[in-house]
Amino acid sequence: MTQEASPILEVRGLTRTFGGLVAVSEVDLTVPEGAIFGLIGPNGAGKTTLFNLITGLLPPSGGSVNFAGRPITGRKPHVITQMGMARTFQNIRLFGALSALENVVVGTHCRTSSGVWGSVFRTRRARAEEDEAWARARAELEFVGLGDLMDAPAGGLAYGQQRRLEIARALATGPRLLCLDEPAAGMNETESQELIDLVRRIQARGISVLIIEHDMHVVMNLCDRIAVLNFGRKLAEGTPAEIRANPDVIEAYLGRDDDAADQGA
Amino acid sequence: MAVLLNNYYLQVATFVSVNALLGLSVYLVLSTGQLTLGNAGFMALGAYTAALLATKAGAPVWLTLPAAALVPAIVAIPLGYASLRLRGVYLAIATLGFTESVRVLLQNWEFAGGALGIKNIPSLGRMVQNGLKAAQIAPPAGLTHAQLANLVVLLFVLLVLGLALAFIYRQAGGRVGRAYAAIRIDEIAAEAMGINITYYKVLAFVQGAMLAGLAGGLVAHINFSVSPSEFAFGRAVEMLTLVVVGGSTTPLGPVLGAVLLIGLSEGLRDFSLFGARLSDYRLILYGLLLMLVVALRPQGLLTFAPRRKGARA
Repeated sequence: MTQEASPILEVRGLTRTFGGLVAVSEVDLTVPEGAIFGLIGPNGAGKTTLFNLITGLLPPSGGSVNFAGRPITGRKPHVITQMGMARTFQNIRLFGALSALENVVVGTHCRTSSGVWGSVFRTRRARAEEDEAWARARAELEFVGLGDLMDAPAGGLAYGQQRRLEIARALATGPRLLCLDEPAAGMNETESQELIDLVRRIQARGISVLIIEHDMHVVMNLCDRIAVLNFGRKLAEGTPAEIRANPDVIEAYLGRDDDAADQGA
Repeated sequence: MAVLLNNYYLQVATFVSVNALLGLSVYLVLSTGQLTLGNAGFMALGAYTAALLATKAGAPVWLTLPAAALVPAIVAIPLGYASLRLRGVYLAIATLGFTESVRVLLQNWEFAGGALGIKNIPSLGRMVQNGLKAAQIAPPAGLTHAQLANLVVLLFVLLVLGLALAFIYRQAGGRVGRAYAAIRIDEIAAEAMGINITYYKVLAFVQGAMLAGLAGGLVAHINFSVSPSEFAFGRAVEMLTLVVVGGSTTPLGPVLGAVLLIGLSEGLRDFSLFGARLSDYRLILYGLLLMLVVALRPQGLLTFAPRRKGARA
């Protein structure tokens, strides 16, 4: 699946208004297959709204989204997830009362198919599928480094662990594109370094990554390409080096008179 | 033994079991986080389906009971799709509207006896009794034919209850049950996991309707008669109360709720207050109990004991 030419995600003229407020305006994005694509911008720039439009949580007011060559504009979130796009949430949305492992097993839902009959009568096929789902979930928990916390209630995990658990749960849906909404928020330096490694390992599995992040260290180290959003519009797009040098970006982030020295790696 | 198996106790135990089924029907819908008051309406549909088939068409019980589950399920599919866009108290009001509509329709349906309802439904107890006599099976020493028949009916209802519990437990342990739990905890996260939340909400709604309808069919065949007034607002609230008091996070909660509440209202028959039997104040009592539980132990008396697959590390 290494067709370099075909993008995994193509966003064209995507717009969303809330009453008179234009939250996202005419945004174009092209995420190449296998890339780690960063989405940055000041608070309130419309990043999460853009995420919600791409993942189907919000219907767009205009524009289109193509995923792996197929139009997904206006499709329901669960259909988009089934097609191979998974996401995490800025304000973590785990199933708090369930164990870490159970959370990830829920993620296998769209890659399994047994219904009421299979669950109740434990048919051979359903049992095989269950065993596979639980094994898969264990593997994903190990992958994100939570192998020793499988039975812990998700709601009781530390913040950074919850973020990694959300990633494991999203990976269990078998995505081709993983959308991470501020995965490093609230993490200390060690944790965010671990996150960088984790996202690289995800990329190494052939999964493309779209990431919203405020932590410039994470963004500049991780991303192959970055788009900058400001007031709902795309301000700039380029490699980390290009973005770092872009005067418009520096102004949007730091104001006219500030120094941009502490940005970047 | 014979004293313990007196007809009154046997009938109360049967009544408790049927109410446990009704509580479970509400529990099923609640396990996807949806609050319904419509199961009294589905119970009415089930009871009338069984009663009409038995009295007008002479259908046997093995046909009327499945039909009592099937007809409400068919009605529940479009109703579920239409009403499950609503949440919380709005859904409760809409489904209560359904329950009341069913009652009013039945009340005005002359073919089904109008407000008087349907009488002379073949009763399970009588059927068993006749069967026993025909087969010339004598009850064990100290038991009358009626007692033995009531005992058989109780065992049958307990069997249905046991099957319903087994079904719910099994389902909860699998993929469908996980989808229900995910939807109950966080619909948006569930959707992001690829779970078709509308499908599973309707599925739970239909399962609840089937169980309520089956319980209705059983009631019709236990009581000889059905009338629209049995399926009014009070019934809808009573069914919900069983679950809230007993506990809504484990299937055993509604069963405990049925034992406590039905036991309580039966136990109060022997006492009177202001010239009325204390059991006539049942609904007031339920209301008080409901408030007490919600204030002091909102999760219900029984809570979920985590029963999870361990990590085979």
